[in-house]
Amino acid sequence: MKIEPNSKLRNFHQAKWDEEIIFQLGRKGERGVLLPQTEREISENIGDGISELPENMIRKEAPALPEISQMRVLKHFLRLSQQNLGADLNIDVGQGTCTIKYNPKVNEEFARNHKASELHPHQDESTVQGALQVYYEMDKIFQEISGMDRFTFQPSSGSHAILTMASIMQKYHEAKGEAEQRDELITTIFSHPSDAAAAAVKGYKIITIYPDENGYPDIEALKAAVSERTAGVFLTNPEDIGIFNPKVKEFTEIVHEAGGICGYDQANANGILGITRAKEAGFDICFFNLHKTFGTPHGCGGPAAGALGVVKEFEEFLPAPLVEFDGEKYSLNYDLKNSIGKTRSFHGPFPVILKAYAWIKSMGAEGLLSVAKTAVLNNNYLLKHITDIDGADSPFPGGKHRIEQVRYTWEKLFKETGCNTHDITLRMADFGFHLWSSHHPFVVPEPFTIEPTEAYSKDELDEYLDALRHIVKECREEPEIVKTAPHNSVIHRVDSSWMDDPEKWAITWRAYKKKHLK
Amino acid sequence: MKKIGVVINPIAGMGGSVGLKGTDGFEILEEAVKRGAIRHSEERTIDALKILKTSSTVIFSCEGNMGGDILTRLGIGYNSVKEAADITTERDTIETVERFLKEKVDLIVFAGGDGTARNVCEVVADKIPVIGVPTGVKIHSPVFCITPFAAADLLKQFTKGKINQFKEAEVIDLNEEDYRKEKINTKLFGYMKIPYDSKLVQCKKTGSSSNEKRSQIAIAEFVIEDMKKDEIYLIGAGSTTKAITDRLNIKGSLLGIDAVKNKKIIGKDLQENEIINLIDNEIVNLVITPIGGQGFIFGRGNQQLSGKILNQINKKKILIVSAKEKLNSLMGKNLLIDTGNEVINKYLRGYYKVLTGYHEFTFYPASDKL
Repeated sequence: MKIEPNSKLRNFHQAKWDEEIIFQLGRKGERGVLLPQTEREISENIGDGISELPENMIRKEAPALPEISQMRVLKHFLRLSQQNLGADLNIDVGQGTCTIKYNPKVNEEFARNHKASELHPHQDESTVQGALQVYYEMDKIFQEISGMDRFTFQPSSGSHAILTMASIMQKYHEAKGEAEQRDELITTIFSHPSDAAAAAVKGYKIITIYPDENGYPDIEALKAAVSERTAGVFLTNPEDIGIFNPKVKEFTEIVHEAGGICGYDQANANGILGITRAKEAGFDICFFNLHKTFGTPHGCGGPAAGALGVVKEFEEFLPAPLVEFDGEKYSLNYDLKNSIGKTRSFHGPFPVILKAYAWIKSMGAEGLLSVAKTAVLNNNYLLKHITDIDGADSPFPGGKHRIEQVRYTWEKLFKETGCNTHDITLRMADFGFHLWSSHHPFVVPEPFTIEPTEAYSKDELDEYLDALRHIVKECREEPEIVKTAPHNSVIHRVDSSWMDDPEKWAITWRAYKKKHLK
Repeated sequence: MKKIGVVINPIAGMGGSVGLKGTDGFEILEEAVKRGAIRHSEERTIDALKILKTSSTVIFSCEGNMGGDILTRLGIGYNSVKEAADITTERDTIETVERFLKEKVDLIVFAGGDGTARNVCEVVADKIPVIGVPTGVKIHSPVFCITPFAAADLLKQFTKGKINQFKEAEVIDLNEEDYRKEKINTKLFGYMKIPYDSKLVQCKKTGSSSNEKRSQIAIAEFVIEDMKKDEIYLIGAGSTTKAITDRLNIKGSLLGIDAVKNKKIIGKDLQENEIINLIDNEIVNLVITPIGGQGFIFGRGNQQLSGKILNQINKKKILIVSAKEKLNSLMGKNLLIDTGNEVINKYLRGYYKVLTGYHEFTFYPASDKL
């Protein structure tokens, strides 16, 4: 369909390479780098460098790595990079709950600088005072943001932070002799799914609270759910549909009364930064994803960071070490009475922490508050215009303003045109946009979740809206185009049922060969 | 002044209380009567019809047990369109409805199950709006209101002239013969026009997706692991609960109530009196699953679980099992109870622990109200 003259929508065509998996490239014996022979003096002193290793560490067969020349490697990855739709290419507001925003390039320079990149975690404390200062000040900054009393930066992601939260919870009940009895973790259906998943990894049974008729987590269900078996509650607020639970304080009180502890998933705090705090809501633990709210890249699955904070009573359970400051020098403190142990090696992902530090310092306290205000304003601007599109709606609960994101539905459009949210998602890619259906569970029918953050201008939001409007028009006038999309993008329709099927899924090349190339 | 036609299928629901999964056809009716089935279709319409007493409408109905009797009992005057028949058949429903059309009624209230809806649909199609009162065994058609009370609300709104939106709703044809053989074989029979109020009309059932199947296996695994020695487990109807007997490698029934003790089947496709005999002096657990898309846990497809039985079961021993997808499809609405007995309904109200996967639960409200 023709793009209307006054539309901000632009024409787009993505590169599409019929590119092999890297294991299918190259030939036996093909090399990217020819390593120089070991000098005689070195081999005389060290030997071959392998036979000194303990026998059980020496593998019998060489790993099946791809054998491929530099030029081919370069082409391979450049081609793949052309088939991306990253945050620096598109108006990435369609990836709700992920809090995609601009990651200032200057901060990359700090992390890339040799003063940061060449640090070694085994260096003596006296030689890394600057790095330790960054940790220490970040601790103080996050204490102020959350009201908690102490932070660790070890967890490498949100889900990792939830796992850490669950470990602290378990250790806390262990210390009270109640760990076995307290085997149930409560969460809500619109909290991030990892709140349940990471706790299940620690062996907890999961109780999920559904919303009441107003779309808020059902407080009566919570009252029915708590018991002497309650280990705690982990929840997201605002929930993943953009609704802030106004009874959150009552929630934490009910759980505390039952002897449970309260963990706050603040992975995304973008809409409430400087407005509400974990402490005042009664939480014992909370965490923030530096790669969401605090301006560092998501990095396609890492490296990332989950800054985890606790109130005083839980400090002794944190992973060691913590950074202390005596007024003159910074030092590492490993002496934590009931530490859960390490959640990863050393002190957490320093480059990410450094970038977030730079971002926070450049924003200042007022800047952080304006992030939240602008994000909420942007979101409600989109809410108004998207719900004005015939076929789109914001249910659950309908008609309410939202905080930083909205889970919309295409249910009406689907009923009227037969085009579902998946079709529209794929058609958006034809215009160079990322649109994501949403997290499971699919409680909202034909869902899509939009989170504009503070980063995008009104112009860009309008361009995104024009894309949605254009495609909705297509759904009504030329639905086949939408149902067979994408046409200008890379990958065509993929049968995603494989990703749910243990017989078929393959997360390694070896597994793929075993399951599919028999 | 609005003209309303009222027609009741008096034998609807009789098959259900004696484990027959429907009352379509003469032989089945005879079998139901032989098994001691009681007629309750008329009684169940009372809650829907009594609001007509205070409304200014002109009522048309059939004499006898197809509407006239109950209207007279409620003190509601009506114009007869047809004389009473001793033994009523589909033909009587069809003729009554044809005469309503001749009288140019504004709306038809019909009571029964899917079979009755088919009969009405044959004649009315989308000519005039209808309100369906659920009194049958199989209520798969979204054309029905969720409960007789919901029908009353809708009827009240309509007679007051407050409804101006209508919606096409499906009439589902479920093959009763197949249903008895445990094949759920539904097809779309037609559409009728219903006064629209999203909360009051039953939504179409959601089928099991492949994800849901995997959840069912996980649920079955947990239920079996958790089974206590020497306690009886009554396993209700549905594919979620069937997964439990499948996993135990015993041949359970898909649409009936089975009893399991020490992981062995001790009763299959049980009728009400069989269950009563079986559970005497025993510790009884009840494992049931809501009907997808509607959320009924009692009173739809499991009429064998009478008030008498439910009264004997400790509420804490009722385990509701449901794949998350099924709960999600309720869009925040509570689980529904409609045993036809106000006291039992009240007893069963409240929050239930619902098993949604292996080690996964929720606490979900159930009520006889929306």
